[in-house]
This record gives sequence, C-alpha cells and structure tokens, in this order.
Amino acid sequence: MSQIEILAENIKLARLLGVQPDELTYLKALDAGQLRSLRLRLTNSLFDETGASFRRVVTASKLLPNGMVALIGEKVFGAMLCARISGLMPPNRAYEIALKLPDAFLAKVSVELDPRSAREVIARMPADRVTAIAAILVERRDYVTMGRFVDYLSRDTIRQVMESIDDDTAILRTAFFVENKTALNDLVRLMPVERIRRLVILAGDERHDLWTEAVGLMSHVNDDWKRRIGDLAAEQDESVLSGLAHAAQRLRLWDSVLPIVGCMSESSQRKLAGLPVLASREVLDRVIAAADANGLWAAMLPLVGYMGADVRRTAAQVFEHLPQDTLQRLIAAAGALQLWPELIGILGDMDQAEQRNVVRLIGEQDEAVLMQLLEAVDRAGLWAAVLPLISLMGPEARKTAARVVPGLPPQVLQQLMDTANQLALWPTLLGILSNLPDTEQRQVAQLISAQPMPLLRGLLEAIHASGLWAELLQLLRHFDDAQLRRLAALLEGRDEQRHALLVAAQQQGPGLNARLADVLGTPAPP
Amino acid sequence: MSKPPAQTVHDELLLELGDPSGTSDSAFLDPLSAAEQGELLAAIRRTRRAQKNALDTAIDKGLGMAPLLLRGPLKRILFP
Repeated sequence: MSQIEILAENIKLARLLGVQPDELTYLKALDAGQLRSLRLRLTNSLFDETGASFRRVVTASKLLPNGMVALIGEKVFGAMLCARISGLMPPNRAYEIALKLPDAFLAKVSVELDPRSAREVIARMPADRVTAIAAILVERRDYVTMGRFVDYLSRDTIRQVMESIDDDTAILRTAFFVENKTALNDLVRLMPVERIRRLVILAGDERHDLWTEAVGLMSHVNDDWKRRIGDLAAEQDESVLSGLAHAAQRLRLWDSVLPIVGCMSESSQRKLAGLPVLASREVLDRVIAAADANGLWAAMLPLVGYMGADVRRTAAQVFEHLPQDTLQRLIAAAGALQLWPELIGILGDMDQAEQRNVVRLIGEQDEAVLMQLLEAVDRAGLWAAVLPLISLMGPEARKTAARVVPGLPPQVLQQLMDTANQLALWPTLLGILSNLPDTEQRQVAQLISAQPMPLLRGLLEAIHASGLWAELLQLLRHFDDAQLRRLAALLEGRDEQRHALLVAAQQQGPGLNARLADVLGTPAPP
Repeated sequence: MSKPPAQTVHDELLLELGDPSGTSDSAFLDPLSAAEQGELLAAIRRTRRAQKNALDTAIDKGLGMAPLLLRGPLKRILFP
C-alpha cells in the first residue's frame, strides 16, 4: 500500500487513540495494511469491551416508548453512550429511535459510532436527514467521520449529500478517509465532470494544500477514471500538473502518482515529462526509486521517452547509478511488460561503461527473454540502436544472443542484416553469427547467400576493412558451389580482397580451401 | 506452586487488542520493536482509561436523574 494510505491510516488511528498523528512516529515501521489491521483490532476490542455491560440497558429500554428512550438518550446519557447502545439494539428499534433524535445529536452520535455495528440503521436513514447531519459534520470539519459512513449509505443518498455540499474541499477531504476505496469509483461517477474539474483546479491551488487528498482520490479510482481525471489535470494551466509533481516530490507520493501518470493519455504524459520540475536530478531519483520499489516501471519508462534530450540524459545518469539488483528488476520488468523499446531508449543515453554493464545483465537473461527482446527491437525498428549495444556484450552473452538469432522469424533476420549493412555493423553481426552452432550457422549462411548483390558487396567491404575473413569463412563453409561462385563474382577486380580470403581459407584447412581455389583460383600476391 | 510465566510486552499488547490467547494473526505487529510495542501498549491503555472515564461520567450523569437512593442499585443492575 502507498504512502497516501499510510497517511490516512495514521490519522484514523490517531483519532481512535485520541492523540495527534505526529504522536504516532513510533509506528512508522508499519505499512498501511498493518496500521489498518491494528486499527480494526483496536476498534473491535474497545467496542466489544463495553458491549456486554450495556445489554441490560437495552433490555430495560424496552419498557419505555421510543420517544422517551430518545429523550433520555439525548438529554441524559449523551452521544457516546447512545453510540455504544445503538449497535446492540434491534435495527428496527434503533432506526425508530434515531428518527426521533435531532440532527445535531445524531451528528455527535455518528462521531462515536462504529458504523459496522449499525449498518442497517445507517442504510435506512432518510437522505434528507443524512444530508442535514453531513452539513453539521462539514461545518465541524470532521471528515474522518464522514468518510467512515460512505460505505454504508446508498448511492442515491451519497449523491444528495454531495449535491448539498458546496465546499469542494470537504468532498476531497472526506474521500481521503473512505474505508472501502472501491466506493470512490461510485463517488466520482456521481459527480458532474465540471465538479471533478473544479476539484482538480482546487487541488492545484497551493493555498489549500490538498494534493494529498486529491492524489488519494485519483490513485484509488479505476484506470479509466485515473486517465480521465489525470487528463483533466493536464488540460488545466501548467501550474496544476506542476503542482502535482511538486507535491509528489515533497510528500513522497510518487508511488501513488506514477500509476495515475501511467493511465494518462500520451499527450498528457508528454506535458508532464516536459515540466521543469521533472528535470531535477533529485526528482528523477525519487521517481525512479518509487518505480522500482512499487513495480511501476510500466508507468515510468515511457515517461522518460517523452522527456527532452537533456532531461533524458539526466534520467539516464540516475539509471547508471542504480544498484545491480535494481537493474535486474528493471530488465525483468522490461521483459515481462514488453518495455524493451523504452529501456533501449534509456540505454542509448547512458555512458558506454554503464551501457556495457546493462547489456551484460541483459545478456544474462534466458533465451526466451532475449528472443522477446530482439523481436521487440525489430517491431520498434531499433536495430540501429541495438546492434552497437550487442557488440558491448561479453563473450558469454554474445553466445546467448547468437543462439537466439537463428530462431528469429526470417523477416526479422532480414531486417537485422539490412541494418547491419546500412550502418556498417557487419563486424558486430558476424561476431555474433560466428558463435552459432553448426546447424544454425548453416541456416543463417543460406539466408545470407540469397541476399542481393549490393548487400553482399557491403558485407565483403566490411569484412575486408575489419579483417574478419576467418569469421566469414565460418559461413562460407555452408555455401554450395553456385553460391560460392556468386560471391566470387563480387571479388572480380578486387585482388586484395580475393587474396585475403584465399589466405584465410588456406589457414582453415584443405576442404573449403580447395573449393574456394576452384572458384577463385589460387591465391596470388596482392 | 510454580509462578506463571512472565508476560512479554507483545503478550500484553495482544491482550489489549482482544486476543488473550494470541491465536489470531498478529503479524502486523512484527515490524515494531519491543520498545515501540511498549509505547503502543501504553497509548492503548490510556485510550481505554479515557474511554472508561467518559462512559462512567455519562452513566453517572444519567443516573443523576434518578433519586439518590436508587442510583447505586440502578447502576449495578443496568451497568454490571
């Protein structure tokens, strides 16, 4: 659970214990779920303790008419005692008595009541009475009590209450304390879009300091509402989105804000990514830490892609300093969530030493993950970015990458070769292919042999420039004579290359040497 | 007669939370040190005392409406 939930639980528990929230610092080791468990257990314990001793009062009250019981309850016993007793009464009777009590007194009772003990009574209360009681609670700014009752009221009653409350602050603060967070979907659904827009603008007004409550609401609604409210925020003046980011930073709410961002439209995400506040190293540190700690890479990585070049470089510097285990989680998430293009984009902004480190970690993934990576790279047209990175892999990782290559669909392999040719990356590709087992090498060799002449010409030029004739020979072993003759045609008039190939073939042994000599003739001095 | 085993702060806390036998899941307390559990225990006991005082005050106030001689018996009958 998030920091937002910890804040809400802390306030609720403090209220139960009759202390200020900042007096509970000794509970900082507990997360929101643990604080909630503690609060529920304590609530049960405190209410159960007194329950048995009040049963006789309930029994005795049967001797009196409802009106008299209501009068005695209000004038004699008071709200606290009535709250304890009401939960022990048959719901019908408690309801009849409640109807006879004034709103102001019921407001006091609701502060002391455990709503779970009187759920049927609460659900039956007429909407106009609930509305009147809510108005009193709003006036007293008792949003914790209001939030506790939301779960037990009908949606129609809630709608009437919300329509009666002009104070948007009260709506946000009440929503923050709602127990069952799924009810927040209903709450926003009951509001006209114009009111939601007002809430967003209100949150963005720094005089009210309401981002905690607003983020609390936005982070608990479903993804569709997250997107709609997030986009509403992005549509407003830049100060609104900027205020959200500043609040997330100041209050450590990125764990709640990132899921909202992840649901926003691309244009809204781009707007957020372009804000000056996100250019700060400290902010990026926290955003990335929140993404890692809460498994929010899917929301975070695309955001980096939308940043300007300078900010992306700053973000890449943060990634460069991540510990190995974080990088491993990032790579695992990239694989599981199909985020390879985003990760490769960040890799491109890292310095080469760190690129090497991340690429090494990627190379340690199993073949299925690497296969998925290479297919994603192909879909995103990222071979130009990736091939140089593969050249940074250590020998073992290159062998793994090599095992993956033959399993790629033919069109992907073709794209790989086209890119290698266009960007003069044949040495990198050959480095990978020379690690292939024999059968797979044959398969790739056949594909290469069928390439058009200009591509093969590029291959020979690159091999000559980098002295990789021995690696080429690994592939030529699998060419038949016709295929060798096709290649030989490309060497006509290029004596230096022809000679280098034949010399390398001589060093490899008699078999291929003899076949090449047949096709190309004996090596002559260049 | 052997002495009963000394109760730890954790045991006392479970007792205050309505689980004297310690059978229900109390893992939510695990992250707290003994000292922190001690602070929590003290806070719960203060709350319980405050709650009892408030309820006693409300009961006494209510019984104050009854004739003086009946208050004692009424309190024993209604709030045993």
